[in-house]
Amino acid sequence: MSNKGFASSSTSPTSGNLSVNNTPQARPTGFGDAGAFDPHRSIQDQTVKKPIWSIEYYARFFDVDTAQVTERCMASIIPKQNFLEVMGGSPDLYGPFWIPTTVIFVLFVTSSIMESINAYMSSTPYTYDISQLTFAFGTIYSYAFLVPSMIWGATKYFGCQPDLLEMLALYGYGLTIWIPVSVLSILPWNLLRWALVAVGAGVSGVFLIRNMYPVLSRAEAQTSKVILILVVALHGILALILKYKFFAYTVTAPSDPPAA
Amino acid sequence: MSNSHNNLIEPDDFLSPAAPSYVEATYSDTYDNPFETSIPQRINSPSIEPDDVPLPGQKPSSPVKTPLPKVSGTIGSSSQSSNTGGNIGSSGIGLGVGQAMMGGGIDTLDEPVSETLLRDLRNVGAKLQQVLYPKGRKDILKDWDLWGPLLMCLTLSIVLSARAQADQKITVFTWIFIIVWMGSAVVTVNAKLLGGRV
Repeated sequence: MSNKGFASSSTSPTSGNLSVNNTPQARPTGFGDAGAFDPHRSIQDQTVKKPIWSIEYYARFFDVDTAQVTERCMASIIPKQNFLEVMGGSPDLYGPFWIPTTVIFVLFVTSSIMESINAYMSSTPYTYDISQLTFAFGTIYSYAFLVPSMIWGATKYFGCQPDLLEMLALYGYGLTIWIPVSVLSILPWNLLRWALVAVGAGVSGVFLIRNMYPVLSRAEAQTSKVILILVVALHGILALILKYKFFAYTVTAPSDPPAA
Repeated sequence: MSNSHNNLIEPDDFLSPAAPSYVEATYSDTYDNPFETSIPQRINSPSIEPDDVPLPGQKPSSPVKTPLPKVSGTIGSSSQSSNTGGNIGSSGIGLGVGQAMMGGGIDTLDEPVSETLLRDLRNVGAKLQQVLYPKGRKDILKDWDLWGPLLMCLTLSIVLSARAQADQKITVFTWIFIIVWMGSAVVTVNAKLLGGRV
């Protein structure tokens, strides 16, 4: 059953380099539920025999253009159809790298703007806090790369046959919503910020769950429920961290105590 | 020494074939010091070349006996008209990939250090001028060097670090460095992965 994907790849690897085709560790993903014969992918497999440590091996994960990336970002915010269909069976790594990077810098910049506006309104001196950039870097990159890898490992252990690239793409593109949420959170109303965070967490959470459900449901009922709850919980924790660390509402007038 | 000849290994048993001329020149029944050759034979040896023989691919330089100020003056003036003579081996730094290596490298060895440094600084300044106000030759940026980016990065890091909060100065400096250099690396890898020729 696990060989049904390998049937489409070519047969004999060369001895010198790690061929893409037959060695399981050379290909970072299983074939997931791509039961249909994907001619594009098999042609790629047969002609591309690059070693795993070369840049050309990873170039096939970056085979997207601007229109495709924009389309995928829009599809993650406005869930009209199944995201895996939007990706057309060829998930990329361009989005899952650059969107979290953008989110990190946007979070830092907007939270610094928020705090400087706050300081200006209350006439206190202000310098930016670079530790927020460090914190954003750690949080967002672990959420975008470590968590999908962990979920992939867990689902693979329980026999769900997940695709690592799809997991990374889901989590990566799912972070897109936080960019408009960050920008809009500059407006200084706590209720608005809470509403924006709730909307952001809701939209990306629904996006994640809807697209991961087919993979998760292949495990037993109890296990898939547990993993689902884990995914939701991690997502909720991310939303709360973002709210309290970056979109915190503080009023630093001399008389008022700060309110989160 | 001749009566100890039989106890010693023949000279050409352990001498490398790279220096056969020593052996050939001094071979005799007695054991002689193989390094006690006269100078003309050393020149005939194929393994050591005199200093003024040009390296393969270079034109032979103008007569070696030229007094030094004249030669360095020639190189200095030619560096403004063409960008090949500029940074030859002067301090070993600032060598651009696009510059040709000429055989006159040793001529910049005796110039004052200020001249060496100023030549590199003028190059950096010229490229900076091209970046900030793009008139003039555009391909001046093709013979790249990394001193300019390092200077800019250091200046930016130091200025921003001086203005940061007291307990964060080190972090700010680190972040600027990381963003500039790792950022360049990441963007280059990204361009290569997307199929660009970098």
